Amino acid sequence: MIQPAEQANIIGLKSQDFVKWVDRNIDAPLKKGPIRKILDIVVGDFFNWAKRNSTWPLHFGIMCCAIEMAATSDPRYDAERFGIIYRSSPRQCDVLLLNGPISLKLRPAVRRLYEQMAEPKWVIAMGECTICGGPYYDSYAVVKGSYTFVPTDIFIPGCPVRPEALIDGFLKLSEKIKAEKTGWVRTKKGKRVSAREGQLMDMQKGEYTFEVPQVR
Amino acid sequence: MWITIRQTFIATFRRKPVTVLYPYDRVELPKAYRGQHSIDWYKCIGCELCAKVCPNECIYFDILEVEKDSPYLMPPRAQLDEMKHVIRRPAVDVGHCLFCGNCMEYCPTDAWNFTQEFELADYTREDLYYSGPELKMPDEESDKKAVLVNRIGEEPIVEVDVCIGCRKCERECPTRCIDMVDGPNLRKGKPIVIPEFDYDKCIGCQQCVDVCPVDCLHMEETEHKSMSDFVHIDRVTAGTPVILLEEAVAKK
Repeated sequence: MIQPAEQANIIGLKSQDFVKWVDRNIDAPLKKGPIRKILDIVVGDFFNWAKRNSTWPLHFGIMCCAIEMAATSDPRYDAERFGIIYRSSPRQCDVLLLNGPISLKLRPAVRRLYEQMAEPKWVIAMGECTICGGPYYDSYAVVKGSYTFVPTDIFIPGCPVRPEALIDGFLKLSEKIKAEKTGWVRTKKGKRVSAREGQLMDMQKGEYTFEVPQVR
Repeated sequence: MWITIRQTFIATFRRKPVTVLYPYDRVELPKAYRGQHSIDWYKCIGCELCAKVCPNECIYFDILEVEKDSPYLMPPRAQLDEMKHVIRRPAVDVGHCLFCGNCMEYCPTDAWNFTQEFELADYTREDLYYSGPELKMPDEESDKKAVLVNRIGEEPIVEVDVCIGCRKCERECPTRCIDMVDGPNLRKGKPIVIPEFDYDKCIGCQQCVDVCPVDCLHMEETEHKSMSDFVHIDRVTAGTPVILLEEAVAKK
């Protein structure tokens, strides 16, 4: 079905086939040789700088913390200084900013939004409702924490979070992206954790966990 | 028309920029802002009232072993803790906290405080759990004086006929306001002891109600009390409690 490079009519290919064609003819040869290492050394730092200075979050307000999210981008706090520009399509985003309690009905939608985002992608849990259910912690309809179904990178406690605290969360995310080369960052208490995105929870099985992991 | 032009001129050229450059320059927070918790260990008596009033149940109690001459071994604490050489101090799961301030409002000795710290963002969920020693207030900031105030507005009442005289409430009471006296009930011909409460010291923490095995205690509302009716404790002089009733009131 997929033709070699010389014979391929690239314009006539379907999108799925085109991706496969690119994988086979452009991606694989590049990754094989020393070109990749050279590219990493030459443009790796530049890409890292570009990534951490353009963390575009998804404009996805769930509950009252979304008001603070809006206040963060107003002239007083001006989140665009840090390259935090809200986009309404998950395809254009790097950060999934969750704010508010995620009900059982919303959970598949959030997971789908996460999977629709292009890599590299990060998740920020804002406010206690997203972190662990908050005041609805014993409700039958609220998920006990976003980290049970999407790999969450930053947790920002507060009810609601101050705009400055949200900016602080984004700055900590940029710190984490900066540390991608070394591979680990230190938390506030001095513990070492992995700096790669989506590696905080065991997500290998790809199943949703219904039980709340014990913190204490 | 002239006013419009003038206003436009002022707004565009004369006004200062409204943006607060956050990491370098900060907005002044209100005095009553509730950020990170901090607990005055000199004042805390381990009554677990904060854990009971917390709407999210995010306050846990760490039981810590201490040395015999530790300054935190303050007189009003449970007899049971004295026997086991431990102190109880609160720990908070900040990722679950509502920052409503109920714990601060109901604290009988004003041991709870909130700092202005709001930069609590972290990379892992486990690190949002702050244990007792991590929430401890620096020793210099505490004035080491406390008043045992009954802020809950309730006092325990004993049902004499049901009581079996097990002395559990006496051991658990953090202010030691319970005295065991002979009651009307008899066991093998001898009278069994029943609790008698010193309501001046009682802070309404419901520890005695929680531990009672036969549910013979219940809480009832109290009348209004003025501050001078409560017991004042000065902890500057470590060791025995110095009860200053009139002096402490006069200072406040």
